[in-house]
Amino acid sequence: MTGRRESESEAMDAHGWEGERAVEPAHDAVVEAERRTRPRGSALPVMSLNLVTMIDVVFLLLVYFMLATDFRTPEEAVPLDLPTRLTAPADPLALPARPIEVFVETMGEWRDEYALRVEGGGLGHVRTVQMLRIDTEIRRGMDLGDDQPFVVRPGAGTNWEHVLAVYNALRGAGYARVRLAEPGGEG
Amino acid sequence: MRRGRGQGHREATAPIRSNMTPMIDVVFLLIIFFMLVAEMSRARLVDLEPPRLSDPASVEIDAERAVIVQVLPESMGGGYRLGDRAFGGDAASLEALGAALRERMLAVGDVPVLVRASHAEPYERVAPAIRAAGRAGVTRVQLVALPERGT
Repeated sequence: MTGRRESESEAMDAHGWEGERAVEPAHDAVVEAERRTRPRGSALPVMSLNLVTMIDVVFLLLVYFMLATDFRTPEEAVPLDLPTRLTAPADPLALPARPIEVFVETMGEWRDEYALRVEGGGLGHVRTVQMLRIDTEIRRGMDLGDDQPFVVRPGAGTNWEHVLAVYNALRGAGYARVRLAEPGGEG
Repeated sequence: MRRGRGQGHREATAPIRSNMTPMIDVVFLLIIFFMLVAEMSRARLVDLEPPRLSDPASVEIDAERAVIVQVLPESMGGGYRLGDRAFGGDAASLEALGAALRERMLAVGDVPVLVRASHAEPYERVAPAIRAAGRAGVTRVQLVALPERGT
């Protein structure tokens, strides 16, 4: 019992400050344990490293960076200009270009399960969104005007995914005058 | 054995050390707390998956200024949502959505209206949101998507 008391007070001396003992009981326990295992008579100073507080801080850092990181892909948006009645055509005598109509319908729940049909502009062979994008991009400024209007006409119950894919292909090909038709109507 | 308080002058020569660890602990906890609060108070986005676009023609969203109209999936009761306000799917509710949108546009100025809908949403349910924006005098609409760019 006296031995323990002595080692405690020695530990206190090593710290030099009494108050610290209360905050670091784990540290003191480590110091004491090492003191016990050390061969008698050895005067080497005790080397000890308190890992507990470091682990505390490391876990906090971990949580901090996990919160700070956004694992999802950031969302983006495809612009769509709505027609306004106020904007007049640049040349009132010019013949309005006949819009090319793109019909799209959902065939299944997957992204590539859709049916595509194009009327006008000699694009009747187009069956996929990728083809639509490539063909309209190549022919822009040639037999299709730069401002060729398009109308996307989704069939009844078409998934938004497929409508947006068609719209995105035409926008990506560089056409600004792409319109989404009203569902089910001539709109 | 124990030295008395009377020998205080010896203690005074001991180095004064401050334990920084608890302070750092608390500071980090505060940082995390405020980050969580900021996350929650951000404009609440409905848990839905927008369409994925390969080869996207999309632009970045200005999240600070955006006015977002969300099309709620059927599993969440359908209808639409502008900010914190929910609207039904019938004609009167769409009228109310248009009015709220017009009010909002007057308040925030000329910003694009984002239309955010799930990829599996039928087009019939997305179109009214776009039409409501058009009726409210909005000329620039943006359709929210998840871009898939080649790595």
